[in-house]
Amino acid sequence: MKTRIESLGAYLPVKEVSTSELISRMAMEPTFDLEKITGIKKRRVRSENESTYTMAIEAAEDCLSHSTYKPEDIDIIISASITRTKEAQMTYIEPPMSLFIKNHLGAHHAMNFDITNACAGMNTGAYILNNMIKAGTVRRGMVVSGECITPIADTAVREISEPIDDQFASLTVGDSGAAFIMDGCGTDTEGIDFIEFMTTAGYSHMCLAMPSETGAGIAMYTKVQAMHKKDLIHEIPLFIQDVFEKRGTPFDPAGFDYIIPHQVSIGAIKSYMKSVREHFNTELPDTLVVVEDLGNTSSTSHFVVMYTYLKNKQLKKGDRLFILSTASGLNVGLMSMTLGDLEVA
Amino acid sequence: MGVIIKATGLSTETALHDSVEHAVRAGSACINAAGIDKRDIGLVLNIGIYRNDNIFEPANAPFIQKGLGINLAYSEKAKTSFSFDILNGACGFMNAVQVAGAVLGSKKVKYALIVSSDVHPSRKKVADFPYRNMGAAALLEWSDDPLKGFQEILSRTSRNGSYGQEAFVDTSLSGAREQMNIRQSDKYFDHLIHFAAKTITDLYDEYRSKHDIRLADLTFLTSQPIRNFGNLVLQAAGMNGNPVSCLHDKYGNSHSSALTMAYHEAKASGQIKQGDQSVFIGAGDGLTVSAGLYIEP
Repeated sequence: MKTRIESLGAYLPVKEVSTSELISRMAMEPTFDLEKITGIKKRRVRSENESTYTMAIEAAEDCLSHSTYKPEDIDIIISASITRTKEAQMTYIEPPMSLFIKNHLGAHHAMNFDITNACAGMNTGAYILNNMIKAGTVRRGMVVSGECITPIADTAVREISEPIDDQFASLTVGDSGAAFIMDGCGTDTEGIDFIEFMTTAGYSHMCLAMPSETGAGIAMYTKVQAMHKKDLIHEIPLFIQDVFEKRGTPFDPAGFDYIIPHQVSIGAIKSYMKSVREHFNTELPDTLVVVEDLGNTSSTSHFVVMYTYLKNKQLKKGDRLFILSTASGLNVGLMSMTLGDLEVA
Repeated sequence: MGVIIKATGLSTETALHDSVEHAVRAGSACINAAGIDKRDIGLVLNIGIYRNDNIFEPANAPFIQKGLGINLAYSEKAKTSFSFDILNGACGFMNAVQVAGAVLGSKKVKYALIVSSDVHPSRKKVADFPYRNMGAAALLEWSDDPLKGFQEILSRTSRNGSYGQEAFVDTSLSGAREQMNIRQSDKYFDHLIHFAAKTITDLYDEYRSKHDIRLADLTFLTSQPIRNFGNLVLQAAGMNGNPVSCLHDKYGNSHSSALTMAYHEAKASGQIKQGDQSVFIGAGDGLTVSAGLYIEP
């Protein structure tokens, strides 16, 4: 039994906001060049009537439009977003977002639940589905995330008042939706080889998102420097090495066409890749990034990259992908897969 | 499925209003009761819903993993854990059993710990908050005997357009860390009782075609949204007379912890013994019902 990504969908809000425009709204502009450090030129931002729910629906419907499956064929729907807004900034705690999505799609035979795992959300959904399909618990399922994350940037714009502030990382995010359907129809030439994750919870307090401490809106507080310490980043190649060794094959970057890292910032991605390159003392395949134009879309980022490169015909059937998750928690996740014939609009 | 509960633990200190600490205390009691090396817990699934400060990143599970001191950092060839939250109200336990079962069945992970806790986000006692501040934990492991432990789990949601009960926070307002709004539809509990009864009837018919079970032998472990909920569901299903966990008087509405708690108490009191068959029934807003048969190893 081998699983595969059967179909993929995404949604990007129309409105673009440049980094310079975002900074111009701040009462106290940063003393450093945010665009230069992060590489982020612009990001997509929700309109007033968009939310987690609406962006998830857009992505899920786009996904289904490219799938051989109908909503009633889906056995499970997992919503994986960090945010859970339905109307404006009304955050739903219960019932789960996956139920609202399931009812809208008419996927009445599906079981549903939400997961929350920071920026590793959709990849955690992939981990769950990969295991549940192989175990025979479900035949196929959808993972969806409508990530309406830019309210944290709005709060950062309002609240940052010091040259050093834990909310600076909040200025990097962009809104998006993404969805995929996974089934058990993988073959020798298509599908997921493995998905492995670890949570080094000793660092769980380094990035926290919650309602603002001082005012309105949601906020994210990130210890950026601590999160990017060399020792911590070095856990990534060590984990890669161990996962491959346990599988009986040493990590061979030449076996992949592309690496898709989490889209944190150009600087962070370079630092991850440098650590991996130096540890294995070898060149790495090309790294795919969209962060310059879309910012950090958090839980959707790897699938927004996949979608964007498929749309531009820069990814194709048969491409071997190495997907690297890094997320608050702290989580490190690895997925090895071969792309099938995925259509995107 | 072959997933069995190795041990459980509870945290019931009424003066404690901390979602992480409740789950950590329950988890710690559970690990101690199991007598295992906690480094072998490869999966930590938190199913608690209401949490300190309405925090939404990271998941609560890593905080709980940290509090329990399980595989906190990584060094070469070290043991690892993966932790995240599964959110589905009173039915989260059954979903977590399904996820844990799929992972444990792959034999890559020895133990999975399901933890839960609910507190008002203000970390204070709030009069109209319907859920009891408490925590629970269950340690799961794989059994190669498919007729031990959890069998198939059936989940259903209603299609009548009403979600029964909704909880939400307006995060555009100041002070949202301490806010929680809960809105309940008319006759929510009546509808939930009848929806659960219908689901249990269908589940029983399905199990009867696959397993050697008799209604009279079953113990029912249910959510506790209102007093006597389990008996009311069974009455509506025409299944009177079976032992039912009725812990609402003792603990109130224990929400995400209810099923672990019901099992823990039934096991501790000797109500469930080796070979006994129990039916777990999670029921809550959505309307959502998730249920499954458990055969005590």
